[in-house]
Amino acid sequence: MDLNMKVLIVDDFATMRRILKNIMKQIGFSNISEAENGKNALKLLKSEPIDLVLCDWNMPEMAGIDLLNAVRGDDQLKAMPFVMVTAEAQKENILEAVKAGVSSYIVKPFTAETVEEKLKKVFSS
Amino acid sequence: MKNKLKAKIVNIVDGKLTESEMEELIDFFKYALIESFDQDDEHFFKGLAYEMSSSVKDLALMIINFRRDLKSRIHPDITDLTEKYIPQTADQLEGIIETTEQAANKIMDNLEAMQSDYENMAAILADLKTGQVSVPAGDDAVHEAQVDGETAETLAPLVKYLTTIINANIAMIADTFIQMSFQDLTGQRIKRIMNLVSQMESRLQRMVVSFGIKVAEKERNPEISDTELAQAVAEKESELAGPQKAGCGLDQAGIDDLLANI
Repeated sequence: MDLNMKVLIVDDFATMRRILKNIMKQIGFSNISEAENGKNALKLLKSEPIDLVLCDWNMPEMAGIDLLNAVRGDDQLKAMPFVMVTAEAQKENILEAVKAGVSSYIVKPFTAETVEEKLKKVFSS
Repeated sequence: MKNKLKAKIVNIVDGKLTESEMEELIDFFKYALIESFDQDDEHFFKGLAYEMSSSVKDLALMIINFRRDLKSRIHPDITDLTEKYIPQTADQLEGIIETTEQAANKIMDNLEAMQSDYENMAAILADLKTGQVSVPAGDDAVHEAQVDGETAETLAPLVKYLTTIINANIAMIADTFIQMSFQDLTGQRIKRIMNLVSQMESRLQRMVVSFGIKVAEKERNPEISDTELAQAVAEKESELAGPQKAGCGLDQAGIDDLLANI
């Protein structure tokens, strides 16, 4: 896992973005961008080189699942590692995300160890 | 026939009449029916119609009283609910999110500052082992110090102890940071409740408005048909819903007036 890669954290709650940012810094990532919804995230993804997306599900403007579908449907972005970080722990949500091509799925509340372990798996596969 | 009638009367009066009283009652019915049909059918049916109209009148009065009662109740209660209490609930829920977010941010500011201090202390202790120590001396100044091997060796158990404590504290700070996700999780649930409250508010408001329009239109024109009433409600409702052009639709004052007229 290359710690120099650029990470995009997408969540409408500033607290959660800050928590995730702190965890990513603890893991060793330092190049981190933020967006508060899927729409702004998509704009960033199309204008900046991003290597990994950590995304919430429920957001105004554009939900995480819609962003995932948009990313997978875009020739430039479709190979982007995309991790869903969400409180949506229902089977149908997880299946929907898997169907849409999610790289990994982290359920809130999570631990720093879970985040690190999932990211390692994403980049080792 | 007589037995069936008798059984029915027994059922109705529930044993409150004697056998002979019942016989008398049945005979009276028979007599009254025969007399009415034989002598004056018109008189009999007129009597029935009078009895029915009297009952219908009673029913109508009951409905009017009920409506009056409902009208008096709907204004102070439901309109208060739609105008005051539900928006207050939504505001209070929003306030909870804001307050917890502010507190969470303040806690995270403190945690980040503590995290940074502990990391600096851990770095200084690590330097101590090398014999070259750089200690911040305020205002970007740095105090450089040399530690000879013998002193470093003497301090080694203390350095080890402090390093363990510092690392444990860094881990606890990181964990506390993660626990702050309660704000996000509770916030999401509160937002769902707010959404529900707002849907309830709009439905109640629509109900009150619909009721208000119907009562007002009926008072203005007692002959108004159901279709015309439904049309009047639909027109006002469409003014309340969706984007409004300037000068069209009801503003808050219009809604307040409407509610006040109910």
